[in-house]
Amino acid sequence: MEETFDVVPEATGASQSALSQPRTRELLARNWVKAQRSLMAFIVASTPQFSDAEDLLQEVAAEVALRFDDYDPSRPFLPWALWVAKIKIADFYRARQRGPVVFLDDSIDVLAEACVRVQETLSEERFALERCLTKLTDRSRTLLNLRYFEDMKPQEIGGILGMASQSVRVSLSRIRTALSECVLKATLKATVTDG
Amino acid sequence: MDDTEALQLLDAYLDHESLSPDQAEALTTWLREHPEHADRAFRRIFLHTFLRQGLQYAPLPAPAILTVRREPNLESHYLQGEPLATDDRLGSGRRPRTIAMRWVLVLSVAFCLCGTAAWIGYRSRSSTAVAVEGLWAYEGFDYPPTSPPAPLGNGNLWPTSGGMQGLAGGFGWAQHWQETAPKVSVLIADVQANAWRASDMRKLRPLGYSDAQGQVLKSTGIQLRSAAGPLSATSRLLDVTAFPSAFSDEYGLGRDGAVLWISFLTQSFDGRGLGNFAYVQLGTDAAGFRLGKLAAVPSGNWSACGILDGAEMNVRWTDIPSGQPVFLVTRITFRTGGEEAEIWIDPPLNKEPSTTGATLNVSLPDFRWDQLSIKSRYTTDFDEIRIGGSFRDVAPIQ
Repeated sequence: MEETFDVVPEATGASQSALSQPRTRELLARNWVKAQRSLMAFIVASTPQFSDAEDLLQEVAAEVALRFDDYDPSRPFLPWALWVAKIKIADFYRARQRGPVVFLDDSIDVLAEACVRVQETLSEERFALERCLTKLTDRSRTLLNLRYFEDMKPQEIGGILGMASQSVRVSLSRIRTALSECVLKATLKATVTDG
Repeated sequence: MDDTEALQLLDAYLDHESLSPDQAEALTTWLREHPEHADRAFRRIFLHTFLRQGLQYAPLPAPAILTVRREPNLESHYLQGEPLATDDRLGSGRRPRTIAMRWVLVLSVAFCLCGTAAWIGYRSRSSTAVAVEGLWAYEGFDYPPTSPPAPLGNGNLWPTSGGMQGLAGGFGWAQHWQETAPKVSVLIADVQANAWRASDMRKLRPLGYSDAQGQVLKSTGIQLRSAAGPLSATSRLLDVTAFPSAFSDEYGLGRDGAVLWISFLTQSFDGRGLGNFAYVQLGTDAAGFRLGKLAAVPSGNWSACGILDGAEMNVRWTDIPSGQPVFLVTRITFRTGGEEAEIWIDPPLNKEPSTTGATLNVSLPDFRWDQLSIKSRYTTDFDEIRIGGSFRDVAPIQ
């Protein structure tokens, strides 16, 4: 399946072999740290079950390390790592004898391209997000804790809070939208201040 | 499809909901329509990932109070200081009060105080308490430990059959224990070897209690451990005929005037709250009493409440974390109308604790009962359940 992917690694030539081993390790570490969060988000898009996504990220990390000699350091790292991630995601679904989740089957490349486009701003947005989290109401915090800390599905949360699961879904979605808008405002403000 | 609908579908997908083929196709179309849509979608996935990674080991600070269990306008409250259009805020929201509103408030409080005083006066004269000494029901969980023991650290591997089902020790019961939820309770002898995780606060010592004067509650080693994760419900019917006839009527225990004492030892895995629960319930979900770690109490501290029509009501909580082992003693006075519960945590064992020294006072709905249940979605230990007619009966000294 991997031959069909749009994003392919560049020809390597002698680029990596010319680097010393410590230098290669350093380059790998720097690139990985920068790309890891985006890669994780990309994997979560393919496998929303978080424990699966974490396992997959580890496999991607191992594969990236194994193949790192093939990487051309003159090219951006993230597209190459995404290519490796797509191979691993395909392997994951093949091993479980089930197809990728229905909507992502056709959208994975579009999301990979988006991942590359927004990568540079994610770091700043992450800091803004941390500030926005402090502005949440008590009830929003409770809902997010139940969803992410307790890893509960909307139906289970509804059972605990005495809400219909549809209401929980809508509430969670609106909390995320409110956080996204807060991040957008914060980053725009920062741009204006910096500019 | 508009952006809001698309993002809601994406959220549903990330929350493990299945999308229909039509929804998936519509979402794909939206995603491919414009690079900006794909960017927005990826940012949303990044947000979801950030929250999951950030919160999976440490939750956001818990709300300080939660007094309303059902909140119909929940959707309109999300961020403080960054409200959505319909937001009038929840939790920290304070609106300016006019002088007139303050006067209304003051008069209302005064009226309530007068009403409460009159009600207490009426209630104290409305029934004659019946206290009869004796230990009427007891369960010390003195069975062989569950074998093989529950696998540690992974709630998905928690036993789903066996458990307490069919066990019938102790006395004062009409039937054996029944497991009625997907997971079951287990029996633990060695708390250290069965520590759920390294941070399991129960591993230090088996449940037991000695007061400040060194008097030790009578207890034996094996203890019940409720399930990790949703859900265990371990229930047993009481033999109402084992109780004095003055304690029951045709509907069960709790005839008006009866005074019942209930005690047990308990400790949770840790003090975490936020929707987790593990409690002892007297009665049914239609009407009854809950004592333990309650879902409605975000701090997770030891708490109590009444139950009416499936909803927890009149929730009261202590400042004692549920990761701390406690000896809980409750006196329920069944009155005409509603019942009154007084709860003491770790009282001195030498004499009946004073009413003024009660840790919690909870008004309960009028209920009759013949069933005790231990319900849990957060692994918690229980032991030495006693139901009797006096403090001494339910708090015997070794």
